[in-house]
Amino acid sequence: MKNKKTIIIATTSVIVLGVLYLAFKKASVKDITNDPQLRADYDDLIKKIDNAKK
Amino acid sequence: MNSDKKLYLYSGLAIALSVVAYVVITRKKKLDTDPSALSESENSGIETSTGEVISNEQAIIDPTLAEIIKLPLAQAKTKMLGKNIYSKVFNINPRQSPYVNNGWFVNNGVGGRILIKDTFIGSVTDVVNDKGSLRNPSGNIYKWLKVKPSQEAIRQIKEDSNILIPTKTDTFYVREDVIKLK
Repeated sequence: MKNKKTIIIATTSVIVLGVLYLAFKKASVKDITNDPQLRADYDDLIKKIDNAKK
Repeated sequence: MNSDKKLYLYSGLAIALSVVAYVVITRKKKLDTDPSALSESENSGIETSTGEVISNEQAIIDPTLAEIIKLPLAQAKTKMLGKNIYSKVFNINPRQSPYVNNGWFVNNGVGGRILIKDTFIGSVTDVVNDKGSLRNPSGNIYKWLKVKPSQEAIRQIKEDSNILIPTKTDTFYVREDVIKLK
């Protein structure tokens, strides 16, 4: 009985910690939709490409 | 309630809360301002005849596309079918039906956005008028393009999607003011 409780608590902890780990890992990824500097660099690059095509 | 049932209940609650936390933590913060140093007047937007405010970038349609979309629907369809289209702005919201519905519980999005400008969205399979007869700044009813999506568009939609909402990317609609031809 005690063993069963331990398994449930351990499994729940692993799932919760795993989900939170994945969440923070995903949230820390920077891309052009959430990072002003990356977005500015990207816009500059697009402008340069457009100008080069003209 | 016996202790086993309590344990299952707390365990389930903890897992459910962690999933909620996942959604909250990974929700993307949109940029408040466009950092590409556009002037205020360039960012102020344009109000259409039906009161919808769109960005200046959306209001400017490239000349070739503008010529096509001002034609009657049947002719526009003939000219657009099979054409490859690209995203003109960031964060396009493709739709399952040809109108905008951003409701909290019921909306017609496909579960994610096409995040990046200049992405190859796909090829046009149909052209239809806006279901709610919404009009563009020129006073014509918006045209929506039904698209067979590209792998890149599908990838961006899936990347932007929430794990709790499945994406629907077999085909979708995009509005005339967020696309361009190349």
